[in-house]
Amino acid sequence: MLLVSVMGCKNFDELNTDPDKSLVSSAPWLATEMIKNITSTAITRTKGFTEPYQHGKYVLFTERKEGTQYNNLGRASFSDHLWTLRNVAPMIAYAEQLPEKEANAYKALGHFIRAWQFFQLSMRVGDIPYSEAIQGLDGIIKPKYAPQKEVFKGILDELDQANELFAQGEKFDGDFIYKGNVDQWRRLVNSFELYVLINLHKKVSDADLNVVSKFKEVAQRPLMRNFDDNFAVTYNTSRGYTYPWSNTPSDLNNFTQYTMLSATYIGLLKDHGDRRLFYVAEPAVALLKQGKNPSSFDAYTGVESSDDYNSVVDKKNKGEYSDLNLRYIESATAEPVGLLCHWDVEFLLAEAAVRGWIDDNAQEHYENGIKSSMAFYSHYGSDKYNHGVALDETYVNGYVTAVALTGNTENKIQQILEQKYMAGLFQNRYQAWFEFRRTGYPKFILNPNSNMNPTDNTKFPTRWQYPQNEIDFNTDNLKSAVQRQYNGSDDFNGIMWILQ
Amino acid sequence: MSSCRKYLLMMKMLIAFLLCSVFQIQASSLAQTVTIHKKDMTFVNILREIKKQTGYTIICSSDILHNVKASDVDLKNKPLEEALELILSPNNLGYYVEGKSIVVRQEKSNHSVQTMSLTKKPEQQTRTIRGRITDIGGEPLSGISVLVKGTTKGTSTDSNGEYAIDVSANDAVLIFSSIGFVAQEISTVGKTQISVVLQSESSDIDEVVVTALGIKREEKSLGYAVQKVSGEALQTVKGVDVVQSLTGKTAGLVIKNTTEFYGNSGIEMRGESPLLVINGVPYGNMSLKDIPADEIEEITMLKGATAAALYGSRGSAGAVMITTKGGVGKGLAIDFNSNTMFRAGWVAIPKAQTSYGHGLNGEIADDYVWGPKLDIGNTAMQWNPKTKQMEEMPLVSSGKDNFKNFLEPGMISNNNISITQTGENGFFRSSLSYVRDKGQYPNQKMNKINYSLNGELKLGDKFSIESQMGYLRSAAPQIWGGGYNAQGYIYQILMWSGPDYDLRDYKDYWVTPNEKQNWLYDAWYDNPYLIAYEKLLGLEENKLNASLTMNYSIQDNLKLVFRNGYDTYRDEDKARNPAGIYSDRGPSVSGNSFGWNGKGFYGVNQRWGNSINSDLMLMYNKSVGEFDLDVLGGGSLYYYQDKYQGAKTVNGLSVPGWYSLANAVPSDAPGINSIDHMAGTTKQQVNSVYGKLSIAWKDAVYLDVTGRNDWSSTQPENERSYFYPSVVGSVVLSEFMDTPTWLSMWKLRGSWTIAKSPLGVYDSNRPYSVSNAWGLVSSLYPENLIGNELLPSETRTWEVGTAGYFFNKRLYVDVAYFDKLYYHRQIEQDIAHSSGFKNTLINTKETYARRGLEITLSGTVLKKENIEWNSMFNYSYQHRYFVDIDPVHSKSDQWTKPGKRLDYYAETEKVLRDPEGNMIHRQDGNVWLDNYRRLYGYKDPNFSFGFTNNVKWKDWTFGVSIDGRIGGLMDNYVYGKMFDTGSAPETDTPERYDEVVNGKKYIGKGVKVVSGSVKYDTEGNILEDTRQYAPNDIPVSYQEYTRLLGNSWESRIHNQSFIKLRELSVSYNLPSKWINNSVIRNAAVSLTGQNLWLWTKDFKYSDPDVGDEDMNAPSQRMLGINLKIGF
Repeated sequence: MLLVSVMGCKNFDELNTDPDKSLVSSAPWLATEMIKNITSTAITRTKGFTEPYQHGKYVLFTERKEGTQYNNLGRASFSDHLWTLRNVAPMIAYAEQLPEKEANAYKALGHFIRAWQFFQLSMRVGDIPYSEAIQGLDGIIKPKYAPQKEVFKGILDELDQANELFAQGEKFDGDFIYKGNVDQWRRLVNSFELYVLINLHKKVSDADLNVVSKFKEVAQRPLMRNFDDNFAVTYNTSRGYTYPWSNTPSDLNNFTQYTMLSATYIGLLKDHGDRRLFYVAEPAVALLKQGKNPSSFDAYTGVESSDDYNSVVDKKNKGEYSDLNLRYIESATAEPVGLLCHWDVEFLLAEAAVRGWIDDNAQEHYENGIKSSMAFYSHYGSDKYNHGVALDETYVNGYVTAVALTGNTENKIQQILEQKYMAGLFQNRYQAWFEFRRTGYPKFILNPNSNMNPTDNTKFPTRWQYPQNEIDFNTDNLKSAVQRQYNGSDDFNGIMWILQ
Repeated sequence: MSSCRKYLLMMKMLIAFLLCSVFQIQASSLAQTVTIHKKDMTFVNILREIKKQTGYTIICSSDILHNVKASDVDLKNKPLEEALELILSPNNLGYYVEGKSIVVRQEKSNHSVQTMSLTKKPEQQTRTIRGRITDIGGEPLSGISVLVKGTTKGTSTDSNGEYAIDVSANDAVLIFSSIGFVAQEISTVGKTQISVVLQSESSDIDEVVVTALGIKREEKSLGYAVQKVSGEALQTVKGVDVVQSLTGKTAGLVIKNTTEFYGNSGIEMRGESPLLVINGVPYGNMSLKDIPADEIEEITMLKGATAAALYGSRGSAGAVMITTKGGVGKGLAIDFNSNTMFRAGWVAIPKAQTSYGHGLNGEIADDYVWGPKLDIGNTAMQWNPKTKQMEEMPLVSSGKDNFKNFLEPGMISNNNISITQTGENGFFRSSLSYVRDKGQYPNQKMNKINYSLNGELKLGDKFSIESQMGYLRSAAPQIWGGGYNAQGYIYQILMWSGPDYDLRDYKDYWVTPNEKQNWLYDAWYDNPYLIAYEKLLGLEENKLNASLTMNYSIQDNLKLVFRNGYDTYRDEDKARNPAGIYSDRGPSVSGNSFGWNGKGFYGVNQRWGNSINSDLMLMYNKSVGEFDLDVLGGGSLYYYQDKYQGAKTVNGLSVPGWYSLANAVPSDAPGINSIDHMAGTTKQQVNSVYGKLSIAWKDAVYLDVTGRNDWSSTQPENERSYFYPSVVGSVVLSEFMDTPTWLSMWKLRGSWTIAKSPLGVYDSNRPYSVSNAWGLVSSLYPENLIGNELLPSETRTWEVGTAGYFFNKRLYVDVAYFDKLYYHRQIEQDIAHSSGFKNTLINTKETYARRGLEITLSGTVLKKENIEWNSMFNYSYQHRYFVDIDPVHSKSDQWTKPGKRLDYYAETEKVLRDPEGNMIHRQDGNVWLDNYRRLYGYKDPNFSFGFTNNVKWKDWTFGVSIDGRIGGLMDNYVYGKMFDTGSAPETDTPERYDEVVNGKKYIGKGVKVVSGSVKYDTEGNILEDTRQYAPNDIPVSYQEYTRLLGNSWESRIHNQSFIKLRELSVSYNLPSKWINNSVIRNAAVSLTGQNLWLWTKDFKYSDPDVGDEDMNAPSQRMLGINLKIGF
């Protein structure tokens, strides 16, 4: 009987409930999670931080012969891009209990984050699950793939909704980027929509999409005004929150010894006499030994990203390269890392103007973009790290005139994209690579003798492969998507719909 | 809670049953009549039958036994005396009764019954010889016949194993014998004291084994595989714990021996982790290494789910049953056993090239070991550890032996002293063990104290109490330093720093104490001495276990048993590091991560918990005609909880060198913590009722049926109650056939079992994960989906086996084949990530089977006057195969198919080859590695084996055990990674010299693609291939080529086959004549060795015995001395 009383009906349900885990959440908590996921988590730290910039030919990495530097894109990760989206529905459900205006802000945020993530993923692989995606809770564990066009239409639609809802929203909690400022969020949404639209520039004749008129419409909405509106993460000195490339005792980064800046990037800066060089680079040790002055352009040299690995290491050993400016390493708060920046918006508008989509003055937007970027460097760079060469106002004004848009449309577009590129070190992750894929600018060098494109060393790859997980668990849907897009071969060199 | 109510009802019914049985079962008097009805029954078996029916011990010399023919007997309820007369007299045998023993002897005169008295007057010139007879475990043997050779004079030992006998002749010889023991003849010349240790006949047929719930049964009645290891086999060569000594001793038990200090070895029975049961108690927190070798009387391996069916889901992988030592003889016994072993070299140790320094492309740099050629008269700017500054110094290989120089001689000392007092009504035993493990890296030292008490108290004939308690404390100040990702010593010294500095110069590891280290690197690597003494991960573990068993014989054939086991532990993990470190990939203990910090770190975590396991059982047995019936019913409760709570600094330490949470640097960002807190709780309760019915027919056919019903707190309410049965049978075929003389016993057995396992703790919860981010609360919606109606996972095992004793029990053979089907498995099935979720908890339709074979051969190879050689060989394998595929959820790759093996090893990076098999090279001169996953082979070994030998020669005993695992693939990480870093001895080639010294390029052997291309489908199958090849002529850097190829899966996935000389011992037992007149009961001194010699197929630099390769610590050869004294 003793045993029975001991064994009696203890509450089994209570036993099996984790006292340290929460079964409830709130809209702000879920918002924080998602914003974190698409910003600071996506940016990654240390070596991973540099990978997009290796693909984008800003940075070389000598640790080993890196696929990231030599054009092996590998497989895309659906989990990185899609998992966070399952938080949207519960966030909106919790938001329904809040005052309407606040609820609107969360709903808008939900649409934006969906649009942002689906866009990032579709840009990598082509067709992706969209209308059936993120519905595991409703039993859809094998979502069908939507053609890229449908995905883009959906993205544009969700961004329109986000714009309207933010317009009818008010300050919300859980946001460490804009501190819940719905106006800034709305500006981001619209700026991003412009970026989505410019990626459809080969589809201007598509009647369903109406790319040009849509661009015109969105360009009239509130857009980013200066770098304070950047969609960017601002770092602090606490462990885990420091600048992703910094190497401070708080967050050690043992990888800083492997970097070199590329000939593409340094070359453009030097060609334009661009003083941002002194804010982003260190002079080459070998050139300093030859007596070159750290404040002169000729103390800096880049290394061609496509040079064979062994010769790159030789240059590393000999000090014949410019490394990253020390502020990126020594300062835990070096600069905010943007995912979409004000200058990008200006360059987009400039490009649209050059293409004749809008009636604005292309040169003005172009200058605004350059000035915005230079203002950013001027603000976050310091005399300690700029090798004595400042981006003062006189210089900036002279510079924008000197590099003014000129020549035919193609030449102007090249100028715009090169300026966009020059403003993009350690900003916007894969944007530079995507822009190169879209426009061919700035020109990257193809070296078949070092190219690690897994299937064709005579080409730059154009896409990532689909993830193994989809091959294993969503086989049929994936296969039909690959069949209709790439003739059955999930290859790195397939041309997705937006590029056709 | 309806299921819980049902459980209560069942418990009440059980108790009612218990109570009713007490009154309903009629008393039956001690059977003093004998019923035997068998044809062709051997004489031994007739005697056994009498023993069984009357309770008398029957003593008979083996000479007699083996000379008497089998006979037909037909006795029904004959009085014992009459029966004996009938059986013995035709064989010219007589008997006498001595207490509870019947002594059978050769009859010379005609009168058959003679009662002999010990008080008979001594004859002239007689001497009295006295002594004590014990078994090898020191247990006294009562009823052993002591005969004066060539006479009819004899006696037998009393309940303390003691005897006294008068002999007249000076050269009289005494014969000590009894059924089941090897008779011994000993001369009495010059002796008055003869104590004998009787060896049981090898692999006695009447072997009693401990089965589930601690029930002792005759081995031949079992329908499943069991195997015993005697404690004695573990008590001469004593490592840190008994785990290594168990390797290879049992077919089907595979031990993956760690080489790490304070490491954990994998213990797998038939490929899964067995339940550990100590004296009948399945503790929740005890592990094999918590039990001192000297406390073990015997270990019984219950293989597979059937054997452990009564333990329910916890026993679904079988059980390791440990019986600890009990009373010894009578009176006081003190035993001392000490084994100390020292490192005597290594059986596997990583080596590195010694020709090139650190750097890349032949130049000094801060990383890699592809640096300059050393010892050719060059100099470079280098860190001088003595002046603590950069200086131009010669490039020489002063650090050729850095790793070995860093290692310290390992030492393991394992000591035990025990005191046992045994009396008429039980025993009391107190035992203290002390183990000291001096690791091979500096500052590795572990002290383990194990104190145990146990005893038994008999209160009258009907009631007894047994209790056991053990307390364990083990502590080590520093266990950090293994592994690659953890940046352990091999990573630091061998893998990533070159032979160009002498590590011994770095013992003074500070430039500024607690702030700046004396070291040549400023990234990734730390001074290994700094790691050893300053970057500390220390553990302290305390564990207490206690059990109480009460047996009450309600009637002779009805017994009530209550058994309660409780254990509790409290552990503390501490981690700290000084500022200025570079290797910051931090430790994780029991799932809680610390994290080294360049600004200094301190963290402490406490883990505690307990488990309780209570059983109440009623056992009843009855003979009905030729049937023996055993019924068991019982209920059990198992409950455990585990908790942890800890804290760690986030932003470093304010005062260098002061390690305390109080010294945490505050965070300057709002909302971001300066101290992180960790906490967690896990609880589970399982209530069970179970029953077993055993039927034996003619002691030759056996059938067991069991059933168990569990209620687990982890199951959803609707599916909380689940039932599972087993059926087991065995037939002793030799009882039914004309057995040839070489066959002593042969049985067939078979079993069928269902076992069910509930969900894991909290598996059915879907909580949000809450954390801090950017000073805000962030909450993540669960990544898992949960299906409805989650049933427990099920396995169905069938097993067939046969066992036989041959050649007068000189040879024993046991073969078992099993097939375990895993179905209804609750798994967290991976799903397409585009669903938004990671996995879904379902009962998958994907099933797989584990099939295996186990063969054991054991026996006496040689048995002569002074020499006896016993040998045991075992062989086993188990492999898993897909049976059904879930049409919706299963992975749709080419290896997940019915009939294919589960343990496939598929990876990318196979070198692409042309149709002739030549390696294809890329345009850059490197080998072309496949982008798609391909099959390399299978991970599980083809088979494993063990071979144990024990040779006794006069007072000497030699023990040798060899074991190994053959086949199976493993990632040889240390081997492959050294090609990447440049430290591999294999890279010290003429080609490397040519590149570093002469600047010459390398051309890989094989072909290159000159035209065409290849197209793959999504799975990597070739769609079209137009490639044309020509011999490769593309120059490439040897360094680049070697790094890529050498560290690829292609080069790293190796065959893990190995054979190891596990243990060796040479013991000298002090002859009894030396110690006869002293207080010393026995004494022996032995040379012991463990881990002595290793053969491997592919592994060069580490010991594949570990089971995986992650910069495994060198595998030390241990040699030492054992000293045993008993008083």
